[in-house]
Amino acid sequence: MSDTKSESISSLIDNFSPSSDESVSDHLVDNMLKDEHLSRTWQNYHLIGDVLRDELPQSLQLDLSAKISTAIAQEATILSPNSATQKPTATDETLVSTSATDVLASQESNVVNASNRFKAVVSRLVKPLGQVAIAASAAGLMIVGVQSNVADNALPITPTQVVQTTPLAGYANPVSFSVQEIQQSNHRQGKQASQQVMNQKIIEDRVAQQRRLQALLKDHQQQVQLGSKIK
Amino acid sequence: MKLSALFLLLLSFNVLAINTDTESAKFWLKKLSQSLRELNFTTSFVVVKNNQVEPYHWLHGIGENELELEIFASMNGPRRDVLRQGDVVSYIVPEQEPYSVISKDIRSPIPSIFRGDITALEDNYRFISVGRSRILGRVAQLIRIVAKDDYRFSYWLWLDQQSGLLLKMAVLTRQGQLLEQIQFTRIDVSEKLSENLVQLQLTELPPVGKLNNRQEHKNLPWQVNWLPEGFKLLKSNQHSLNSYSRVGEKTVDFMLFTDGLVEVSVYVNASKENFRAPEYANDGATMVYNHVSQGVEVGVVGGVPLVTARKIAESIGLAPSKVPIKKTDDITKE
Repeated sequence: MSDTKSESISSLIDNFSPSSDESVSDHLVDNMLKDEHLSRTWQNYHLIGDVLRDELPQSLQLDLSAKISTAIAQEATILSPNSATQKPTATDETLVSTSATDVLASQESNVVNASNRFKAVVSRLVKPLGQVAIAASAAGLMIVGVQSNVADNALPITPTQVVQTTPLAGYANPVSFSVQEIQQSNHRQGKQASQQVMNQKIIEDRVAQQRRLQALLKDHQQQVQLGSKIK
Repeated sequence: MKLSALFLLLLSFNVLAINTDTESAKFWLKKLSQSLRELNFTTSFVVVKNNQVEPYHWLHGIGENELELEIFASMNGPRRDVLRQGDVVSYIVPEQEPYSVISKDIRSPIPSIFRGDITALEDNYRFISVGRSRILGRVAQLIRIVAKDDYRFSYWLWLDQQSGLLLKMAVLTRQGQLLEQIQFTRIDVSEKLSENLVQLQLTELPPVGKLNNRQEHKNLPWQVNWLPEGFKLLKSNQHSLNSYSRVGEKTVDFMLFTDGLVEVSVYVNASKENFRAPEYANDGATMVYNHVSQGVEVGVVGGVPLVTARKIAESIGLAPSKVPIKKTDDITKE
């Protein structure tokens, strides 16, 4: 038994598996790792091969592997963060993917809902437009540069704050915008209120104000869109 | 003697020059309007405002039976498309069923009057042909549409010498501050209808919605006592501000005015507060103004300077022959 094993070790070293079945050599390696005798055989055969090929180093260190394994044993243990976090992320991913499929499914149902061939045709129709957008936005970048130069000489009457919308179809994006308030309202709720309460109030005022203005802008755009019969 | 003759000659030249400036401007604007209605074109442009860029795609063409076909598409963010077949304009916007309205124009960043009779603006704006420059690699004719008073903005148009189409547009205050710009990045004029428009021709647009009933003229208990010259009432009604799904939406009295080039909306409703300081913001050349005075909230939105918006808002008064307005609570509950 041991002979056949040595033989197969020998052929394994020569890069040749005795049987065509790979699992046998796998087995062999496993056995070799467990069996001290076999692993020494493995070592010796290598040494023999090295001698035959005249590949021996100047100073011969017969048992390098022992040194290496002690060195490894002395090495500090590195705790890899991967092993700890891998599991949860994996579950996260599955969560995400399920929700993604949900979204997909709902989108699909949307498509089915609006399956009046109209929508389908429309989406086919406008798709090729995409390519041009890149050129457009590139040109846009240049213009931004120019505009910010011009914006320097602001005049007092025009406020500096901005509302951001996409007015093409008359629907404002739900984008927040900063508004400067004329500071009178702060005077009223005066001195008895503590600073903190006042700040809180100011923030709330701001938010309410933004909403009011945004709502007006949005409605304006929609109204204009619905009833512009000038001619 | 000779000299004074020369002087006279020069003077008459000057007068003539001013006249020809206007005449030439009108010629170009007419050419623009004609081109916008009759040519097959494929264009891309960007709107620049608030340090932001919005790219659009705009196609127009004449299909079978002289049917005008038009597509406006916003390229960034959620899909917003406007399609037009003749008099039917369809809006495809996110989170909403697509719908159509009967209208001759597409509402877009480009004023719809440019497709119509531009001379309707002559009472309130001056047209000046300034000269030529180079835009989008083409020879462009610069035309200024200058407001005659301080209550509106001015518009600069760069038109393609060859096709008459718009190459660039800028909205400025009278003092010359730039508010909004439109720059075209591609213009193709073709004999044949482009592929997209051919498809549009075969598309069945969504049915014309019942939204049009909002166009009625309703008598409101309020009236606007001051407007810049030339602004006329387009429509008035009561509706709820379709704001971000807040519960218990309030109805507002609404009026829409236009001077042919820009629209101004006026919103009036009773407020629980008695006074609130003016608030305002601008979206490019669109001003939003809001205040509460004596328990009445007034909002003004439109393409006019802040002074104009404020003046309109402050001029709101009771309509003379009307029943007194209801108290706050009645209106807000409705």
